[in-house]
Amino acid sequence: MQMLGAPNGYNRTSRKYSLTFFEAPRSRVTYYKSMTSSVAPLRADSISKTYRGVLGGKGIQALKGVSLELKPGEIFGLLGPNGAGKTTLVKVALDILSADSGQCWLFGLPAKNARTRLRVGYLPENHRFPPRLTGRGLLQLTGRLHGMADDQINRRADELLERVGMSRWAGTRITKYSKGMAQRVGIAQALIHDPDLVILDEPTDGIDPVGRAEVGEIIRELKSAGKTALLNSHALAEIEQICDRVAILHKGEVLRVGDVSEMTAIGLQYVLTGSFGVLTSDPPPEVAVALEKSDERLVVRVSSEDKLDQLTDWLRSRGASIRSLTQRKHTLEEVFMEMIDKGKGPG
Amino acid sequence: MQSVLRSRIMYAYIVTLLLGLALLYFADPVLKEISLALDANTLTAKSRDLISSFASALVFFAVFVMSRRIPAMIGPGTAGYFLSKPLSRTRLLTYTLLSSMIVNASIIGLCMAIFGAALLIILPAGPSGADIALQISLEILVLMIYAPILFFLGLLTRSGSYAFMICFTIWLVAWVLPGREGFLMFFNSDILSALADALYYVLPKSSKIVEFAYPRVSGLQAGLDWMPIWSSALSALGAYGLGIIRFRRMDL
Ligand SMILES: Nc1ncnc2c1ncn2[C@@H]1O[C@H](COP(=O)(O)OP(=O)(O)OP(=O)(O)O)[C@@H](O)[C@H]1O
Ligand SMILES: [Mg+2]
Repeated sequence: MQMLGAPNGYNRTSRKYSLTFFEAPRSRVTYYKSMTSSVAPLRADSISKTYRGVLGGKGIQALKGVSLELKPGEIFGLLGPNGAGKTTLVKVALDILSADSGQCWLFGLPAKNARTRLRVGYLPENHRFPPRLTGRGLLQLTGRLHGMADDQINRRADELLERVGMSRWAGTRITKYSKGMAQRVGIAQALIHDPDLVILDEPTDGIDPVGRAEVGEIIRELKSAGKTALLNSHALAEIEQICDRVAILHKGEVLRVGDVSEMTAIGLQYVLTGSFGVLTSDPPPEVAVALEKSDERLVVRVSSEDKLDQLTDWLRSRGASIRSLTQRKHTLEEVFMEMIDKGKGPG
Repeated sequence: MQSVLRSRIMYAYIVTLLLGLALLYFADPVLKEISLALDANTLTAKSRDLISSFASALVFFAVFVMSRRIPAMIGPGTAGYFLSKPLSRTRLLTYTLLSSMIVNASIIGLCMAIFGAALLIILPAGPSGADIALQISLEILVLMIYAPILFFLGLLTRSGSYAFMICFTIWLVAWVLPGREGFLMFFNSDILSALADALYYVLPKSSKIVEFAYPRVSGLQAGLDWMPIWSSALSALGAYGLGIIRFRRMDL
């Protein structure tokens, strides 16, 4: 989401909300913006957090020594069943909650330092934005809280409202929005100050299928602009398409972190379709091991990728025809289910 | 500012102001008659009470609005929005408090000024404009002193209604404490009287603040008593400090 040139010079409407006090000093904005971004946008060092019970009663341990590090420019998915501690982790990173032990860093600075959040955009889960605001008002307030200048805010607000398809409702109060509409302006406000790290807690919650695709598109645009994104989500199919890396969190512990492609690949297994009825024997073992065989479908495991040429040569020489060849993968959902099931039981 | 003006509580202010003015309008002939019969001192005392009761109604609304400010800000779903912004909690609380104080003081000040002006026109023989202005300022000062207390209570209880109720209780207690000797006699307990003394010094002295204007208004040139104002300001500062400590430690 790079800043486009000023569209149609949005006329500066009155400063609607009486919160001018909230402006952060501008010099700091430029200072933090200009810092080079080779440091991890977010780093968590063995974070533990227990929600204390009433009157010191037994609390809920939501995080048990969670460590994570985001790389600049990646889209990172935080997965886990309900109550896994995803929201808790994000809140610790934003200093909304304080950790019992461990430390969080944003762009190399302790997350306790409020100024680090100048570079962070956040969409809270189950948000309830100040109810008297309109969609545009929310973007203006957010921009002002981030120390932006008014004309910049208005230009950017127009652009973003358009982007999330909310221009028509920009002047309507948030209380009158549907859930998905509020979610859309919520995403827009997280992006108003062109942050380097965007944390979205269940961004597609309540958004219709077309909107979901648009949100995916927005997140990809962020990536191409060199931004980092952290997504908490249950929509695994979407996560699989969008994210570069994911972490699976369960009962406050990280079960697995890794590239999506690595996680979903299952060795070198390939699925071929075509007509294989003519085959009288399996391929020779030094070429490939047939795992499944039918007239239209053949599943094989090979020892290395260059064996694939040998395999197709062998098949063709036997009179079989090949229509497609794809690497076999687990879906992220299968990986997820397996991880969660493995002796741990549901959250 | 517009969001404040659009809110429902504004109607409460406007209605109260109109009621107050209507009251003055209808009471006008009676007041005029009485004012002829009364001596200047009694007249000023009467108009002082009039301003006081009008102020109480307005302050009541303002306290109501202020008591909800913090619980609304730290409520579930809203806290994440505000706290994820690049402002330390100290700043966030301070700015919110200041903006709330300025907005409420301006609204009340405006309503009271209109009311005061109307009173001046009706009772030319009554208190002077300066006296009325002083009394209005003191009433607003009391509200300002209760603002940090309301914010602290809001942080403590996370509920506007509880903050409001506890604040009202504090106000009542602070109201009777100056006359504590009167009822402590019946208990004859050192602990109780020490406690009442301590409370007297810790809590704001709202009644005494308003009385600050009395010697002047009633023409008695007795020494002006600044002590309640300073000590109440200290109470307010204390509440503000406690509020910040509390806010910085809070999990939201
Ligand atoms: N304010 C709170 N007070 C007490 N316990 C809490 C609080 N918030 C969360 N918890 C507990 O902490 C654990 C983790 O909650 P968290 O909200 O981080 O889960 P999550 O992974 O975001 O779940 P979901 O997918 O449902 O959003 C849960 O067991 C929950 O009961
Ligand atoms: Mg969550």
